[in-house]
Amino acid sequence: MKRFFLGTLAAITVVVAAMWLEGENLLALFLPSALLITLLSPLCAVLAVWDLRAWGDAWRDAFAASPEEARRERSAKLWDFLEKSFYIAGILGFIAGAIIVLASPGSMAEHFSADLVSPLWGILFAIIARILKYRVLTRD
Amino acid sequence: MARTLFWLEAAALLLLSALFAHFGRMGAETFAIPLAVAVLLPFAAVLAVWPAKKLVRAFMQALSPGRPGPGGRESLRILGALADFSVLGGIAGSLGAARILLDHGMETMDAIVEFDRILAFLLFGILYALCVSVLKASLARASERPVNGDIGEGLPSFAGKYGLSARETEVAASIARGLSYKETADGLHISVKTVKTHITHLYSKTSCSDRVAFILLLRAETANSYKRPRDGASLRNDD
Repeated sequence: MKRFFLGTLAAITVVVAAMWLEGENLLALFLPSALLITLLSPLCAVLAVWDLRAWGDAWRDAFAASPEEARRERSAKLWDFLEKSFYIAGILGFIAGAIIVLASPGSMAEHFSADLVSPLWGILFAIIARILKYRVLTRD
Repeated sequence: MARTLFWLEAAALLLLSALFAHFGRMGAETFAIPLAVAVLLPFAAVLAVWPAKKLVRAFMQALSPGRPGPGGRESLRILGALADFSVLGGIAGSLGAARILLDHGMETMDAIVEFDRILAFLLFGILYALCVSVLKASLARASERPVNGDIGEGLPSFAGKYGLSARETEVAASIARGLSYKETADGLHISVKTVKTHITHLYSKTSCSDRVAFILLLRAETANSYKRPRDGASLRNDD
């Protein structure tokens, strides 16, 4: 558990620190619309396939000392599906944003800058989902 | 050959970093930040899954000659994860750089020149992933190489003598090669529990009390084809 939080935090911090050093305004990344699409749509997609219990099991298996063999495969599949859903949600957010950007007057570049927030969140969430998948597969 | 390629690519990574700074007439931050993301992010992500000692073991096994000992499969998975996370880090970095560039406006020449930052994140992410992939492929190849520790030809007669099933014979071969329960299960696409069941049957059929006794018996019975492992293939179980 401790290793997961420290490692994941460090991985995210590397990206955030790099962007800060490059001159990014980090608060601008917390766009509610981008976060809504990137975070919620994959979570809903997972719940459309698996029930809440399977979702809870997947979390438990990622931190259990030795997950049940019968359940391990299902949990790994769930994390794998969630990871792919995050990529898709990132693209989805970008396309949805592009439609709005192209229909809006003003500086195209600045609008497109905001449009890249969804794919960025998508990648970061996908990294976390992949870490959890590897944890499920390697616990013994 | 593969290990030479790894060092060549690592050198190319550093050379490219220097070229970026030189031809771009920019400071170290031009390549330092993308390089840091490409290298540090995968390490941090992998350390969220595996302990540091296993990461070190993966590199040691990939860089040392000969067949890897116990934990070889896990090392392969670790190196694969490192490469994956490196590419993801590169993409995340280039998206971030693109955002900043667009935020500053694309009209000026400076903004166009700064386009190389977007590419630098991608380039270093992919190049580092390539380096690690070479190591992974090298380790995978070393794992497949037959070694003196394989019992090979004597195994069918041993299986026949003790009435072992095909699966039990495969598990016996894995034990003789020093693979752990987990590695045996992964290799045969069965669960660890099933491996343990097969091993119990093996001990029962051969009247052995434990792994050491079983291996000693296997060695004695397949003495004609078995030679002592010499390049890292330990018989110890690391589970």
